[in-house]
Amino acid sequence: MENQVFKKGRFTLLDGAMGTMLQAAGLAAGARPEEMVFTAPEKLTEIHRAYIQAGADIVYANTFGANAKKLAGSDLTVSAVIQAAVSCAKKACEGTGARVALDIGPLGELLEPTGTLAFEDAYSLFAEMTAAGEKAGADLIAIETMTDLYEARAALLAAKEHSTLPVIVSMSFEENGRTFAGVSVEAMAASLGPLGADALGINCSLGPRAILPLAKRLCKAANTAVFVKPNAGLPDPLTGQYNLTAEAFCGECEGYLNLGVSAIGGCCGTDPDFIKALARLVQDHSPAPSAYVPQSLLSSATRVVTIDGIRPVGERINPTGKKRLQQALASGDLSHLQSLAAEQESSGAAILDVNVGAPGVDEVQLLPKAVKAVQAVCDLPLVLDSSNADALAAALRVYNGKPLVNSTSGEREKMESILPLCKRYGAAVIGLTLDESGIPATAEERFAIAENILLQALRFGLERQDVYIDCLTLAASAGGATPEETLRATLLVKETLGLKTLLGVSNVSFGLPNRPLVNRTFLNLALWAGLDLPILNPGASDMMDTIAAFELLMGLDPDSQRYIGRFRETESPAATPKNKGATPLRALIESGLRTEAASETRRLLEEGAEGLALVNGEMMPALDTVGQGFEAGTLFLPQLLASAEAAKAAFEVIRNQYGQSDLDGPPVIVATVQGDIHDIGKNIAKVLLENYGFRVIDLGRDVPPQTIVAAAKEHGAKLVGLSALMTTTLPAMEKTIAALREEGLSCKVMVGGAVLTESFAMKIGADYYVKDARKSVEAALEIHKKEI
Amino acid sequence: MQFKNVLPVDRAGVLSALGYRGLPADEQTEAKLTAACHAVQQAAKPRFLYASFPLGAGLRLGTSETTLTGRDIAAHLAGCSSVLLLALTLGQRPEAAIRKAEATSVELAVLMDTAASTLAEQYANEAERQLRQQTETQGQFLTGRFSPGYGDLPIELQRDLLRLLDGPRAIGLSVSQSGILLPRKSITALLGIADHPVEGKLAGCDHCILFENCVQRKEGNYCGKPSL
Repeated sequence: MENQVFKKGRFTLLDGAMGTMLQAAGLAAGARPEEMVFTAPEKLTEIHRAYIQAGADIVYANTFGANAKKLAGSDLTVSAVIQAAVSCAKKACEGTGARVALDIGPLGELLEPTGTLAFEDAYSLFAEMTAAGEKAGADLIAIETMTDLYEARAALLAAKEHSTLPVIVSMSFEENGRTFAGVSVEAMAASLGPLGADALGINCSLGPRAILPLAKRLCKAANTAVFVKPNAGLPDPLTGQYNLTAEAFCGECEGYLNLGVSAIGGCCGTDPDFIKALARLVQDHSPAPSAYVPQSLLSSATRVVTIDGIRPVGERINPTGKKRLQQALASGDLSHLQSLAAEQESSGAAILDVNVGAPGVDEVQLLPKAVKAVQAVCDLPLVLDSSNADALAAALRVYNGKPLVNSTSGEREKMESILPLCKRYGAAVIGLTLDESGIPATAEERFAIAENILLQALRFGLERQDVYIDCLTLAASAGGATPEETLRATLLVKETLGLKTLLGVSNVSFGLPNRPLVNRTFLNLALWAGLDLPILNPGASDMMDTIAAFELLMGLDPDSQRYIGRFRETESPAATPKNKGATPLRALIESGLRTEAASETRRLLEEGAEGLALVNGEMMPALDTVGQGFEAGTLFLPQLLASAEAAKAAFEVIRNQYGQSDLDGPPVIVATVQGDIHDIGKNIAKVLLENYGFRVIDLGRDVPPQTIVAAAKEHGAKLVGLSALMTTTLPAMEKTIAALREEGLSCKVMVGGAVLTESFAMKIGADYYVKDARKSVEAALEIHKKEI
Repeated sequence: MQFKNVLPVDRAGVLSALGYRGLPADEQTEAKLTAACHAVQQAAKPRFLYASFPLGAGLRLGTSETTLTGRDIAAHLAGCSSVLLLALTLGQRPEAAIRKAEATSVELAVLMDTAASTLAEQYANEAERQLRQQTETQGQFLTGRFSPGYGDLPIELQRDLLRLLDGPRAIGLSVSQSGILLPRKSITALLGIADHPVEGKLAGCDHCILFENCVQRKEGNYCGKPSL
């Protein structure tokens, strides 16, 4: 595929290493290469000139690390460095026709969720660079050596939104075809191509021979031009010297001539001789045509799901009719949503729908947060589900990968707001077959709407394979159009338009007895009609069984492996409670048997037991026994936690019976302080506090003081728990306590974490030093003794 | 660099870190520990990186602007002419796996977290063993490992070490504003190099930040003791 970045009909040559050349020119170990733009500008111009003389059409300015994060602590500013660096390169280009790329490397700090750098902050850092680069007169932007897709997305988005220059993006892979962060070549292409990169490439990390098979995959997956900048082989671990000569490098590059790659250069260890050799290699060749194969696929940073079979979409992250989830969302607690994600993944969902449209919820604020929370614990691609276009835009910005947007309809206004959004952020889209006059009765009318949605999507620049159609399942009991019309419409869309289809399955049985039977039967028919994405509860095993059987019968399950695997009897050793003398529930909790504790609780409630009596008579004594054992050193942390989780499971059963409010105790705020990301200790405390009936509001990790103050106020909490594990983050803990006091809040503060001591805790103004999670329960009980 | 050999998680080490004091775990915990170790083992992609720097005046590292400060590291490097910087990480996947576990079971997450820390330590030992062998074949000798944050060597040194080693690019290891190594299951260390056998002097517990809370110390296991 051709575009304005690389010239048509001939290979574009990129330059070679800058760092290697700077070191040869006397750059000290650990020194900032960017300083050279002021200390030795003529050296830089000389290096660029040598590359241009060797044949380079594009040279990368010395701006790789010129971001505010890396320059912090020096007296260099981003705009001054970029201005000077681009000038050096432009000077070398004068009269040659060579172009200057603003070089953007990684920020040097990991982004959320593994790190603490927020996506939005990374975006701002890149935006500053991009704007400075365009102002300095760069001809294009080269984002390179990325290993985190999220960071690459932040950089690309910033480049597209803060300049008008073409943008090329390359990432660094290991031989297994993944980056350090686990991003595959295909995941890169799926996300960054549609997001608007003008070319995608691979640079650094490996030599030409090792990159070749990866480049081949990239050519197939990328809807853009493709380029490579390999290293001069591998470095010697101790001396840092690379092992390929210019000739050997060039020999290894021959394989790129017929691949579909259209630009080539070098990375670490290469110099102008390498580029000269490449110039000789490519002079009699022109790039092979694009090898891009369009495919319907969705992705996260580390997983690509190709829609070439049945891919169940988990529907459970949707608060409609779920009081528990509504309340969690309203209080800003996203951990419930995270467990729903993890559960659906383990039940076999391939994709998850995320909808947070509950009463009293600001979707524009919440949907992006929910997306980040789910992506932190689950690598399935997501369907972003909202009727609010602003919420979708906010979520699309922060989504890491290529999502599916749910949805547009055939209404003109809707298409004009949703389709450009999908194009801008590189998302696929669901089209619902309804328009201004509602849902048509017949399959043919629905098909006509689908056809129009496809037409409009193409007009807005989406690719055909990214349009998915939902022919709308209506309740069979409702009268009017029969579900048969939905099935026929699905068949028509699939066969005539060749688009992927999806349907919510369980609507069909609304209001009928024996709903599972109707759902299952409808699912069978819909799959036969060509349904690709059934939206369902993957925890409903009869539905998942149906899909497994369908795949078996249709030859979609080679050697029936998946089917047989699904129904192979799994022998689980019958767990026996240790404490034979106690009543079963109590013993089950003491033994930490989660599933058994939940089912026993259900049984007891069905027999007429009273929930509160179970809590006070069975659960609390069990927890006390275990807690005492832990303190005496006869039981250990894993057992304490197993019991806590069993109690939690039992508590959930009771809670579902009562509805939430009757059982909820006083609120306790917990957080890991700003700058710190160690949260296991805090999470242990949370589970135990919940066991004792406290309503724990978990603000997560790396939480700024003002967020904690705001939450304490909003919930009227009498107790705030803070965790910090590093000597460097204790000051943040102190600041948080001071902020709570300044607000005049009367709440008590408990603090914990490995490096804390009782005396330090008191010194920074804490009320309780809790050396372990049990102590946090004791503190909470002491403060709230009158209410519990 | 990657390791040629795969190390199985040291289960006894995990239990010890969880406070078991050599006592056996119950059957259920053992089963969960097996699952946790398996998950960590699957996710871990250990890589390491090293470079040596001559020690200049004031413990300056080569020609860089970094100097090592504090009495403890000076004592550790006494008699050494240069220093070997070592950085090691299990990669980002164990982190993601632990986060995922946390969404459904804190217990599993705790077991995995402890298993991953133990495994990182095991690989650090392995890297040290290889480097020691390599150094000794060249007629030189290594001290033990000394890490930033240990004794009075400031944890803020992490930033400099990773810049000197080019850690983010070479093995995907970086450091947060608060000095936390990211991915978390990572280790950096300094080892002195001398032309005669050196033991180094580990800081001991007196200066240790964990002095009051350390379960290991209370049980008589001093990490300051030279390992066998």
